[in-house]
Amino acid sequence: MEAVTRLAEPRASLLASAAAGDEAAFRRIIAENHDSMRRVAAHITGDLALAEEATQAAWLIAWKKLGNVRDEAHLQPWLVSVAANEAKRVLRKRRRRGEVEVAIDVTGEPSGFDPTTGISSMDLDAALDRLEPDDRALLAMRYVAGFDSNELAIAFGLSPSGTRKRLERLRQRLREELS
Amino acid sequence: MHDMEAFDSQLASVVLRRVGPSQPVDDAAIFNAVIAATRSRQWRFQPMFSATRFVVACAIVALFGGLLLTGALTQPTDESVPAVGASATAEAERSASVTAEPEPTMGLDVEPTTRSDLVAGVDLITEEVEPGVLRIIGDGAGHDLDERHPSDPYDLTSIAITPDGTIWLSAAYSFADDDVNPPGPLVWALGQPDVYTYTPEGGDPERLQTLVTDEDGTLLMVSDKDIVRFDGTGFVPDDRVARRLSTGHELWTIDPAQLAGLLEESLDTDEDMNAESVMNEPRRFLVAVWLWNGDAWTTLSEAGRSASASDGTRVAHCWIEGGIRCEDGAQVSTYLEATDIRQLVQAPDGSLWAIGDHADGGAGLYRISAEELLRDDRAASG
Repeated sequence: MEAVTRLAEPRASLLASAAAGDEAAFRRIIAENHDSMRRVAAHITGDLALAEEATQAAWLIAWKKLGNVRDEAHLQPWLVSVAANEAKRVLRKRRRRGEVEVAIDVTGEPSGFDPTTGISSMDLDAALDRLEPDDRALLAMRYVAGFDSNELAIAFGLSPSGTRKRLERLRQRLREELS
Repeated sequence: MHDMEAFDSQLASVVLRRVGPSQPVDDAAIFNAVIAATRSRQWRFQPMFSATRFVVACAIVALFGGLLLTGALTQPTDESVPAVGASATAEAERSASVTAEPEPTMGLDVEPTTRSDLVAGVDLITEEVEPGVLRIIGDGAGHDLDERHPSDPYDLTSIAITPDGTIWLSAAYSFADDDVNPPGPLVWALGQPDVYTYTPEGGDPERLQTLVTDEDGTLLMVSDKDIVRFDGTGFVPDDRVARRLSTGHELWTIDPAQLAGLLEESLDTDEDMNAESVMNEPRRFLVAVWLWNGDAWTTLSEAGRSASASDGTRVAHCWIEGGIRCEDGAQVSTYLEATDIRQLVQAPDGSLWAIGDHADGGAGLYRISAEELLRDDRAASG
């Protein structure tokens, strides 16, 4: 019965409970968001270990600052944007130390040629490596976290139409580069 | 369109492959690590403080003891006695010139310094990042440019200076964590606690493009939909079709059909603006462009990539290139090399202000004095 009650608990209440220091509520937020945050961070850093470091740092910030998120609809975009910011920060730190960024290839799948687009996935992979971290963040939030333009707007501090345009321009740029 | 959809699908597939599959989340372990990190910071501080306190106390005792012994055993010579009227500071500087190690900071004033002579009535907290180049850290009115909100500092997007010397800044936030900085694009003046946003009736806060001043000294905020002006208490719609700016350029509100023709003719820009995106926009699309002496169009951001500094007789022309490059005829110098500078603007006192990044992650608001830009012995570089 208690489980049913908890499931029916309003989301805003979950946010408020977690912000007030409720361990169970915060753990539930972790369970629901950690994977998206880690994978978005991985796309930005190109390094799984750095992504884990960034995501862990993001949770520390979330633990301290969760009370500042007033709207539950903003929670996931906020968490992912904090993870993205931390990913960019650890990336900058590594670049300052002179370490070379390594492109990730998690699955090791062969990168094939797509006859519909006429573009090799290997070339597309290389083009993604050359993108700025902000652009990689945008693509990861769209395709990995599955954010719509409203959520992207929250995460990037732009208007929804501005976010749509930015995403469209990025896609267009990549398409033209690879054509 | 079909081709673009196929590309979108391929792009999604590659991005998902790059980040790997979803993995189970051990929320308990993550939570425990967060709590441990929080406690570890508190734990580290207390014992360290006790130990440090002991060491510092010993050092102070030893230092004073040493000074007392030295003073008791050494007779002052004539050379070490200050002349009548000589200040203690001058004496200290003289001693330092003999005994001090070479300055590791090349003479820069690296400690934050409060300056009240840069903007009238405002105490700015600054650090000297290069000779003659100051970075503004705070304005004493609640705007700490190094503070994070929550994880990034101010992301400065634009700067404008009104004829009275007020420095106006804009910043974008995804979120904010205090009452001083509301979420969304915000505008404020250095040294003034108020912040301003503009939300059209029934709409979202606009995406801010840039701040400019018109020839009357009125501050204008240009977004991708509107031009609004500051009336002293907030931003209100500005419905003029054309405005002459303080720089002498003209700022126009242009409808899509008109713009499409202009773009085909002579838009001189590398901005990501194209006729297709304008024409596809269903609502009225405002694009602000400058009329450049009737010869060429360029975007606001492109125009913000250059500025001039002047002392009334000489002029240094500066532009964004690998930092800030300035030329005054005889010399070319580079400032803030390798810093990502976004906009330059000239102040009424002849100095140059710039916004950009900062290596340590803080917001970059910089001021280069006119004296530095126009001095004869500037070290030429580049």
